[in-house]
Formats: sequence, C-alpha cells, structure tokens
Amino acid sequence: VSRSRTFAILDLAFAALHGWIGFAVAPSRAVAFQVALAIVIALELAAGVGLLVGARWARSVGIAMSVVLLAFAGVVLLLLVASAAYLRGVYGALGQGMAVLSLVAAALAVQLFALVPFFQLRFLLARSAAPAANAK
Amino acid sequence: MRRVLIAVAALYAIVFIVVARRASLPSFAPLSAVERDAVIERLRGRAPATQGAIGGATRRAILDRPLAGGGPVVATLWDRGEPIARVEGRGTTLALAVDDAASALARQSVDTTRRERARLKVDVVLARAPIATAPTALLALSVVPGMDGVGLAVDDREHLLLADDLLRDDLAAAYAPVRGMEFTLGLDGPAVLRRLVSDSGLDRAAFRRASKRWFRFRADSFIEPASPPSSQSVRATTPALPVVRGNTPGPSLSSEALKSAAIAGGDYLARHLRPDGQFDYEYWTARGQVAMAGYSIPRHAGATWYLAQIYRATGDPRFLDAAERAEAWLQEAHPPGCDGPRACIGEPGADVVDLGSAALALVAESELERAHPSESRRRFMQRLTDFVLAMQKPDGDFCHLYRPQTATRDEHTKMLYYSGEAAYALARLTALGPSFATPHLVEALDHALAYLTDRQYRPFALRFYFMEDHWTCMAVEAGWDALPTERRESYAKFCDQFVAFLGRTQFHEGDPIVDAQPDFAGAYGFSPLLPPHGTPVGSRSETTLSTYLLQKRRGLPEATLAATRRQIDDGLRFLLGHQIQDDSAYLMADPDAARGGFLMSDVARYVRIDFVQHACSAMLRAALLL
Repeated sequence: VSRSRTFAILDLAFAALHGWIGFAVAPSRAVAFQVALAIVIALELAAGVGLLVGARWARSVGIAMSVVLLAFAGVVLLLLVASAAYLRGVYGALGQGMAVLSLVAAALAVQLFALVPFFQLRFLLARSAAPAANAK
Repeated sequence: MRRVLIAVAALYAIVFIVVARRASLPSFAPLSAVERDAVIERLRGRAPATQGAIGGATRRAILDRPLAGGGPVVATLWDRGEPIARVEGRGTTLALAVDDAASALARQSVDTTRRERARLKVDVVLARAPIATAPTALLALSVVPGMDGVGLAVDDREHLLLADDLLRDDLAAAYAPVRGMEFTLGLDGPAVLRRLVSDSGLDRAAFRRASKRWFRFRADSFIEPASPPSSQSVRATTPALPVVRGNTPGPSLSSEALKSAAIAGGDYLARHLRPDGQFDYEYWTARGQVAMAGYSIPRHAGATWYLAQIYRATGDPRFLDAAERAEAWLQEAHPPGCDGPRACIGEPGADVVDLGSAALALVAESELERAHPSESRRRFMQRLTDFVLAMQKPDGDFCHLYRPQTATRDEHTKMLYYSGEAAYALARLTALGPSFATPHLVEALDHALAYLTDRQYRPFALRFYFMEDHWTCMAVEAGWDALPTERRESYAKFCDQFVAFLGRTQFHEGDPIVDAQPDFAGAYGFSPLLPPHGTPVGSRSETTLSTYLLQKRRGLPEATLAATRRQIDDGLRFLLGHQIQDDSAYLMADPDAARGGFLMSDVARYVRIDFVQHACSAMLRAALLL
C-alpha cells in the first residue's frame, strides 16, 4: 500500500472519528465550534478522497488540512497548559493525580489531532511537486 | 521542524509561568495569636487581656503592621448560624483598620443580649488575586473552596462575599459540571456573580458601564470561642481560635480524645433518633433542617450497630435504649415474604429487598447480642443468617437483590458494598459461639473471602487497582480465628496490599498539597480541587485498623506496622479535627443539635447518619485498641 493511500485512509477514518465525537458523542452548544469542526471534517474528507483517487489538488488540500489540525492541536494544548497553570496558581501544587490526568488529556489531544497531520505534513512537504497520488 | 517544536514548547512554558503567577495569591504572613487576641479585644471594646504577657506594649503597637490594599478587616457577629451584624474597617495598618471596624461595630443597632451572646468572627483580608469569570467551569475552580472569598470592585468600591458566606449558603461546592448528575465541584459561579452584582446596587445598564474587577481573596480568620451566654468573662480570657474552612482546631490525638469524640457521635445519633425508631437521616446544619428522602435501611442498621458499639464501650444505658429502639424499627421493616423462616429487610411495601439491609442488620444484632443477649433476638438473627446464606452464589459472591413475593433472587444486579457487608456479617457471627459459627457458616465465609480477595480481581484490568473492599478486610480480621489457617494468610496479604494502595491516596504532612492546604492531612483523595470528605476517612480507617491488627497477629516487620499505624493516626487526627464541636458550630443554626456530627465535607454542610457511624466506629475502635 502506498504512503499516499495510507494517509488517505487515515484521513477518512479520522474524519469519521472527529464527526462521531464532535456531532454524536459530545456535541457543543457553540455554533462557531460546530462550524469549525464541519470545515475540518470537510478538509479531511477532501484530502482523503483526493489522495485516494490521485487528484492534482490533493497535495494542497492535504497540506492545508494538516496545518489546520496542527494549529487546532496547538491551541488545545495551549489551553490545557493555561488551565493547568491557572489551577496551579489558585491551588498550589496539583498533585500526582491531576498531573496524570493533564498528561492523559494532552496525550489524547496529540493522538486525536496532531499525530497523523504531523507525519502527513512532513510527507507532503518532502515530496516534489509531483502529483501526490503517484508517491510510493 | 525541530525549531518550530522548540519554539512551541518555549511558548507553552512562558504561558504556564505567566498564568500561574497571575493567578497566585501574593504570599502573606498570618496574624500571630497575640495580634488576633488584640483585634478581638479592640472590637469588643475590652481592656487588653494580653498586655501583661507582652511586656506592656500597647495594642496599637501590636497591630502596627501594614495592611496591603487597606484590608479590610471584616467583623461579623454570629448568633445561631446567622450573621446579625457585619462591618468592614479599612486602613493602611491593621490598627487603623481595626479602629475603623470597631467604630462601625459600635454603631450597629443590635440588641445588647444578642450582641453579648453572639460570637465575634474576624476576617482580615491579606491577599487578592484576579479570577477568570468565564467559562463557568473555570470560574467554578477559581477559588479554593471554603478558604477563599470572592470580591467585585465596581468603580473601585469593593463588595465581598466571605468564605463563610459561600459555605453557609452552599455556594462553595455547588457547580454541577455534568448536567443531570448529582456530582458537584467548585463554586456556583453564576449565583455568586448575581449576588455580588446585586450587592453593588447598580442597575443593569449602570453596571455594564462601570469599571469592574473580579477577584478572590484570602483572609486570616479567627473567632471567639464558644461559651455559655453568660460567660463573656470566660470568653475574654480564652484565646481567639483560628478558623480554616469553617473549622476551629480539634483536640490532639489521644485515647481519651478519641473516646470523647466517639461518645459525642453516639450522643448525636441518640439525639437524632425519632420516636418511631428512625433516625433523622440527613441534618442540614445551616438552617437546622432534617431530610428523610432516600432513607437507607443499611445506613439505619449501621447507625444502630454504632449505638450498640458505644453502649458496649461505655455501659451508658442511654445508648442501649437508643440502639434497641432503632433495632425494633429494623425488625418491623419488612414486606410480605420476608417474615418466613428466612428474614429479609425492606420497606413494608417494597417489591424488592436488598442484601445490604439484612447483612448490616445482622452486624447490628450481633453487637447487641454481645451487649445484651436475648432469645428473641437470636431467633431473628438465625432467620437473617439463613437469608444471607441463601443469597450466596456458587462462586462465593452474593446476589444483591431479592423479590420476597416470588422468593426469587436477582442473579445479575450488583450493588456497591453488599458482598463485603455480607461477608462481614458472617464473620461477626463466628464470635458468637457454636450455635452460629457452624461449619457451614465458616465455609460460606471462607468461600466469600476467596471470591472477594481473588476471584473478583481475576480480569486483567482489575489487577491495577482496588475496589471498595473495606468491609472485606474487616471481615478477614473479624473471622480470623475461625478461618482455615491454610487460606487466611492469602486473605491477609490482600488486605496488606489494599491498605498500602489506600495509603498511596492519603495526604500526609510534607506533601505539596498539604503545604498549600494543611487541613488535607490525613484525608484521602487525588487532587486539591475537591475538599476532603470525612466518611471515606472513617471507613478507610476502620479497615486499616483491622488490617493493622492482622499485621500484628502475623508478626509483620516493624516498618510495615509503622507505616500502617501512621496511616491510621493521620486519619484519626483528621477525624478529630472535623467533628462538629461547639467552637466550630458558628455557622450552624442549632449547635446543640449538630454537636458530635460529621459533615459530608467542609463545603457540603450536612450530616448523614452513616458519616457519623463510620467516623465514630473508627475512633472508638482506635481508642480501645491502640
């Protein structure tokens, strides 16, 4: 299986996962968040389908999707760091339990939003301008 | 890419440092005992009683410390849980702020008798820090519950809600993060904001236009000791008591203190036993209200057991009388189908009864039988025993629910605690002589313990933690002499591991969390966000006591015994410091009714019968055994 195809399948799988979590399991009451999520999922679907069929625009869409998701993960981690810092300021030491929970939350955010986009971005940027679908 | 990652990591580090510093309270030195007494004396308009002790220094000199932000010094007269007068005094030094408050207090129109009877509480505001008012979840966690107050400055005029106000009005731990669940954590932010906006006296438009600043603040808090209404002279010579989270210091750990506390708990339960033999299930201290909703029969049985325990320890007939009245209610509590050869216990109209009610009733009855033997009780106990044994499954576990009308067991539903309670009931019976300690009963106990300590933990995921097994280890200790010697050691080893696991979740002096919140010492938990609850300390202390006894019997190394003993002692200190006593009852409408009880936590201020039972049972056993 080519790496393009692998990333395509991962993009589609994560689009489904993000849609399921964001719209079915824990839907937000904030319309802006729902709209942003819909855009992200649309980008993932487009990148996935584009890489799968070898479309000329697939590389650009894939890069855009990766950058958006990495930025999102960065903001989520920033908010986690700021929240932990705020609680540290209010309560003093947070203890082992809270530290572990914070790490778990950060690890989850990285796995859900950053890991695949990080490697996909490296892969797409490293390639020449050749069509994404031909890459092995 | 590596540079980007390093830059992001540096950004996160900077954000952490800046946010943490901004949210922290500036450090401050609390008032000394001499300063506190001098403040009280000035506010009460008395001659300084401490003058001799400080070599003739004047009160003004004692209080001549700068006051950041002008204080304020807040003085409140508390009478039966009600703030009958409150004033604020401001000044650049503590002396000036206290003078200002004293003048304002003297001007308050309060009935002289009430003024003298009320207890003067002082909060000297020493530190402030900004808080985030959005999102609501962050606001909820923006104050340390019970220690911080919340303030709003509108056009530089401050309005304060003291920690006491948040505790008394149940705002300190009332935020429900998950809709539809009872679990609450942190400040009820919207209610607090509404109240402070209302205190500002501005209409909505004016409030929107005004310059605003939200903050939390920490005060050095102290109060006059409780004393009989006519004893102002006694009060005047007794030092002011420091207050942390609505608590004044408890007695030091000693066998006598534990026994007194255990008796106070027995008095609480006896006082809250109603004429029909039921207890006041929950007692809400701020307004002296009783709630009977959700009355739990297992908890009724547990409270009855404790009354029997305290009777056996003291011989005081009041406790026997109360225990027997509660027992009589228990013996009458059953639906049709529970009155045959096997006795079960439940509401008279219930379709389903549970194992826990029968098991803990059996525990209570076994204690009463040892205190005051009776043939009719033994017959009832035999029928209860037959029911508990009939609920045991082939694997040693128990069915937890039973339909008496069809005489069928629910083979699937599992409830918390019931299997352990059943094992403990069987273990207690082994001490009652051969008529109860039959080979069949001992075999059933052995089988139950094999399940509870081993078989139920066989799934891989369950091998990383423990469930609520405090009854299990109490059962191992209670049934030790009757259990087969070749198997009981493995049960005891399980308890060693269980108690060590509990120990890893206990806060000790020297822990960073305890440095920040010293009253956490001895409690169990995993974060500083949730003020500790007394009941887990009580139940964990009960099981740790049982395990300690097992360890002594088995001759375990001194280091192991010392670690377990430290766990017990820290828990007992926590319990002694959190039992309601007259000095700590200033936020309560009826201190006489609340005395001896245990709150759910310092920020959830109601007493339930099982809170008292677990805590006092641990203290009583410790007083007698340690």
